Amino acid sequence: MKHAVLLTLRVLLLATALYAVSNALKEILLREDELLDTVLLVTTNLVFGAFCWSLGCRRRHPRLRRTSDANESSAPGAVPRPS
Amino acid sequence: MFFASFDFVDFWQMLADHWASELRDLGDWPAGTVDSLVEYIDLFPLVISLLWSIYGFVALFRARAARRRPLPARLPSYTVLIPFYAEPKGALRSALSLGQADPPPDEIILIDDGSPDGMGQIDVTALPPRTRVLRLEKNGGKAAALNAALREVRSEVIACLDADTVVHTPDWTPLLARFELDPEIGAVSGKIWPAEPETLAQRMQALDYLAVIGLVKNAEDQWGGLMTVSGAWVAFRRTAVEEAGGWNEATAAEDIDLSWRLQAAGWRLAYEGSVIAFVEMVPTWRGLWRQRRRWSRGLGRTVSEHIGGVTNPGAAHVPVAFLSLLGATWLWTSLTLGIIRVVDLAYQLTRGAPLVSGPVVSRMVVYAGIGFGFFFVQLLIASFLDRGPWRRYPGLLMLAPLYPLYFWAISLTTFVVGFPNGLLRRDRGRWRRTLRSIELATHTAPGELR
Repeated sequence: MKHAVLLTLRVLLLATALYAVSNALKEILLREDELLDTVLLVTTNLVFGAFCWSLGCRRRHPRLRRTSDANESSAPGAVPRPS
Repeated sequence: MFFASFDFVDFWQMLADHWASELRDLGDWPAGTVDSLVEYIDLFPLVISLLWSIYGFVALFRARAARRRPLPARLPSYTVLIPFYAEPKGALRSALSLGQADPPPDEIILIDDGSPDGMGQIDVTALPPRTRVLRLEKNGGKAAALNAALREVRSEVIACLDADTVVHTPDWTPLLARFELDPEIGAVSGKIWPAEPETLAQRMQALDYLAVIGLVKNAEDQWGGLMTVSGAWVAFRRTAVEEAGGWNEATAAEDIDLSWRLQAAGWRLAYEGSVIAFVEMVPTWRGLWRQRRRWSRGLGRTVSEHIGGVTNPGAAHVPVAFLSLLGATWLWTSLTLGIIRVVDLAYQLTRGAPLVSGPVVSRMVVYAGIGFGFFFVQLLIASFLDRGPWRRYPGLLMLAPLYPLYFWAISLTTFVVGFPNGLLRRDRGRWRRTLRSIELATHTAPGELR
């Protein structure tokens, strides 16, 4: 249940990010506000979009695995690097 | 001075009004909702292009930081697999490109996937050291060939190379170090550069690889997951592939399939832009259309089978799966919209409306112009990320205005045909006799291009 809520939240964040970036573009393309207002609106939307996008990309459950499992440091042929 | 006179309360009020008005338009069913959705559909390619460009720009700085990162004390061992079908010269050339690999591989295995009599013969005297040929009696497809070799590999990392690919970078350290430094990484996709494009179809693909595919991979790497590794040039952690049950032999795009399965299991896929291989582009439009249709079919198949994997705890590909579904929806809706607009335009013309001043046409012209602008920004950032091939093939820049036409003619049509086909039907990844010319030269000395 908790995972479903987190996943929904991630998708919502990603969608909000795209929505914010779209609004920034709409502001550039379709609106006729004052230049300073336009610049501020576009910048805020882009920063907000980037923030939401990077939050949506973050995983809450990183794969927990022992390093030795993944790396098999005793495997034949491993190449030690000169220090 | 600016901050002293700036009214933050006013600004937040303006921002809130801006969002409220957008949401009000979206909720104003039916006319407002439809108009807003149409605007978002039209803007979607620009939004995605902007995302790729921003993350490509960030990648320029990340690449510099990565070069300063300390290397691990040891590197994992690796074996290279080169599956081929009736393409022995290509496979031999790929194996020979590994001669300078540092550190050297444990083994190079050329897998002849049941080539017809006399078409799989390799000159064994020309093979580099620690290379052997594994001959399969029956032709089972690339996935089956890789699975057959997987059973014989004991190295920690398995690198896969297609028979039309030659490795350009002799230093494998950055690629192997990714596995050692991050135990969550299940696969690392190498960078692909186009090899000597000659025909127009090859030049357009080269543009696609350099201006779009490389930039997309860079962005996806920063989002934590890849839509797919490049099957032509990729390295996998062996335990990850074994855990996933190997390559799926019942699909035509085994790389997309395995990418999604690994990420659903919590493995991360990465992109290493400093280890480069040249891939020969498909020389004909017909061959290209078939290749892209196969990719779309593979994506459709993968989505239908593995979309549930994004709900797994720790799934790494939520953003790319989200964008894939959104992209698929966008392609269908924009195609439908395009048809409606053309019909509407024809209707307006029959009623004597002027062509140039029509609102639909003027809107299309504005969007096309802005689309070109965004593409050139993308091109500029991509050329900073990959200076070598742009210096070598400067003529590709002249073809940039044709790229949108190429995108719509190839990507859209193959997707419209291939994706639903993959969603609904099972297919098997059999080899088709290659259309490529065999004489791809190992044309650049290692280190010549940077």
